[in-house]
Amino acid sequence: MLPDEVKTDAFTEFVSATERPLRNALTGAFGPERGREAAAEAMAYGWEHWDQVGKMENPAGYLYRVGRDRARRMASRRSVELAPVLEGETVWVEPGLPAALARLPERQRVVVALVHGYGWSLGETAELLGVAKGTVQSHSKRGLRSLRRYLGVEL
Amino acid sequence: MSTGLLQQLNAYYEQVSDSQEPITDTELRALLEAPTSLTPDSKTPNRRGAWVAVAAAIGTLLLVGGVALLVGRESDVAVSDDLLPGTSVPTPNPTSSPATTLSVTSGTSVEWTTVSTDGFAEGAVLDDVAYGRGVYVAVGGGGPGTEPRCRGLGVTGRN
Repeated sequence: MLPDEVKTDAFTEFVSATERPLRNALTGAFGPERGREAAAEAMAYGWEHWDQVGKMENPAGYLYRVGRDRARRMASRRSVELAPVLEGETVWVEPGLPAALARLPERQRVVVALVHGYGWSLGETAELLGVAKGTVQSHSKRGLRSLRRYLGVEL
Repeated sequence: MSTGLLQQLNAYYEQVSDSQEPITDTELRALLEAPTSLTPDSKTPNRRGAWVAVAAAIGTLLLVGGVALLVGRESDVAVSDDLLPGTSVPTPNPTSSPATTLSVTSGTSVEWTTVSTDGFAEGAVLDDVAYGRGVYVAVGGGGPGTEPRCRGLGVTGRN
């Protein structure tokens, strides 16, 4: 197999395993539009630098930070815009939830999204974000507490 | 509100996920081939390339000058670009004992791996430094027995 083919295969395999988690994490932090755009940018960066990125211990975590930085740069042009709540779904969702999420600090918002929105474990979340499990737990607790306060609920 | 917050979060992000298309190979290719590619280390020529290069050059000069002033000795200053994980920038002052090395070990974080005195604890992470092209890290090393100093971390050449 030629070196280029090896690179393509390895990257394709990497993308199939990490595209969704990376997109979910960046969407959780920055909203669907900016998060998806940042994830695509990060993936493109991953391809361009696959020689180095592919050898990393945690390439997905690295690309998360690449995407996060891209999204933060976009932030100067746009504020965090989370998707509105859709009506007619099985589970009722408070329409003010996206606005409340948008008020959270970025790190709390991404942790809340990954752990409570997408059902990731603390370990999975910690690995992608490159922080300790305890940090994830702390952001999660604080995030939920703030959300409850913003929404005026005890649940 | 009749549904628990956790259930709502789960339902909300399920909605978000369902309404979002996966990133396709075609999209990635288009992004890589786009003349205005925003990828930070893109080798693709782009329309903003010229001013980015000028901004990077000016930024580097300012940074080097600033660091030189802060550190006091120009010979103590090293500037490196295109930092990627695994890159190490040795201290410009070999008389520091032991040598202080600044290396990029985890993406956007820059970390002191070895320090000789107080000032920066071992492994202290200077977080949120950008990456790739246009990132310049300037290191000012202290003399023997003095505090190793990191006087300049700058980002230039942003798109």
